Amino acid sequence: MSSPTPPGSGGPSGPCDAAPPGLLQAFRTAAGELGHAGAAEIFVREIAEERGDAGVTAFRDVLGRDFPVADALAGRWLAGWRPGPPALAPLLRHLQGIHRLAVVGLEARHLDALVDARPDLEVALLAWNALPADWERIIANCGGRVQAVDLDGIFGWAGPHSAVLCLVYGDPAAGTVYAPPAWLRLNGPDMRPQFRSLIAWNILPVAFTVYPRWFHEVQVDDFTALEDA
Amino acid sequence: MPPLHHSHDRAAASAIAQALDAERLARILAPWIPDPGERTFVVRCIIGEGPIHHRGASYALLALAGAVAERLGSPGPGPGGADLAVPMRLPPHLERRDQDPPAYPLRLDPAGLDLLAGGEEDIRQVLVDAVTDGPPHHALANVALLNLLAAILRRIGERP
Repeated sequence: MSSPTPPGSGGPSGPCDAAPPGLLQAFRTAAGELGHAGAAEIFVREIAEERGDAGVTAFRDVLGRDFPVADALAGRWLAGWRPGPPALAPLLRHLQGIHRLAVVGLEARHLDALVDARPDLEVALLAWNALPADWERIIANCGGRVQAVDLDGIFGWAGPHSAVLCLVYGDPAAGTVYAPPAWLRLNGPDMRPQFRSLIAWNILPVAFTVYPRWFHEVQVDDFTALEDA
Repeated sequence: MPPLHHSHDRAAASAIAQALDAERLARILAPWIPDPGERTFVVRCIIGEGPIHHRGASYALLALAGAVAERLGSPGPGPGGADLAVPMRLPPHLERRDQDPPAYPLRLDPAGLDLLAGGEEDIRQVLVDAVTDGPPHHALANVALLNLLAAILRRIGERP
């Protein structure tokens, strides 16, 4: 009896033959601490420099079904798109009058840009993710600007000048986006009326072609505003 | 427009939702909540959160009271009118004795409750507590309606 093929191995003659050993594990660790999109940007850029579009295609084949954000981002890269600075202006308009922000979901590059753009804003990050991560290290990397909170402690951040920012992904044209599971745990009738705004920041506003593993489809109407990053 | 009734002869939730005019409610509340962002927050709490029948009932009562106030030419809160906080009800273990809880940006004008209390401070206090307690959609709708009624009473009192 043969052993089962591990996820992302691509099978005995699959694309993993061309992929470095440990790619899946390395990506999983990076995605857990940088965010799915942030990790994918780094991996795709490095692979593209080394192996060009063929390498990005192989990366997508190896990891795509396990990491749908990476799959979508790699697909966008192959279509000619390149990551740029996050679009902050539309989000900052929604944060006018907001003094405290609780963030759900992790994308380190976007979080860094946001805290730099609003030095006066108090920011909490819900330290819970489906992927394993060293939250002490993640928070330490935020330069003292971000505090960790849990699902209970986030209510200590409630108030008329407080908002929740949820990082989402996917094409919202059909009225849904993909949110991290922490949003499902948090989004309830106890939380919703205690924060002035419930904002979705769409990190990767493109259609996914694989099942959105690690994330869940939620209604755009869950949020009081939705802006692309 | 979705069907008004389903098989149990109750209005469909989507039909109730479509009957709610957030802009109208925002206009009614504007004299008490000048900041547009804060007003949007309170309007959402009243007609965007909680059970759909509460949303519909609160909207109907507030829209009607708003219409009465408008016909009377009510200018909104009187001097020093809406001065009582509507606290957010945090989980009890997060409440701090040395610190007031955060409050909603809509404050209560107690003039109507004062009329009922007839100068009895204890009665006033329990009524204030009753109308500001409970789920936020309920408490805020209570306070918005009491503010409108206070404005209406004030206007009626000014008439010869």
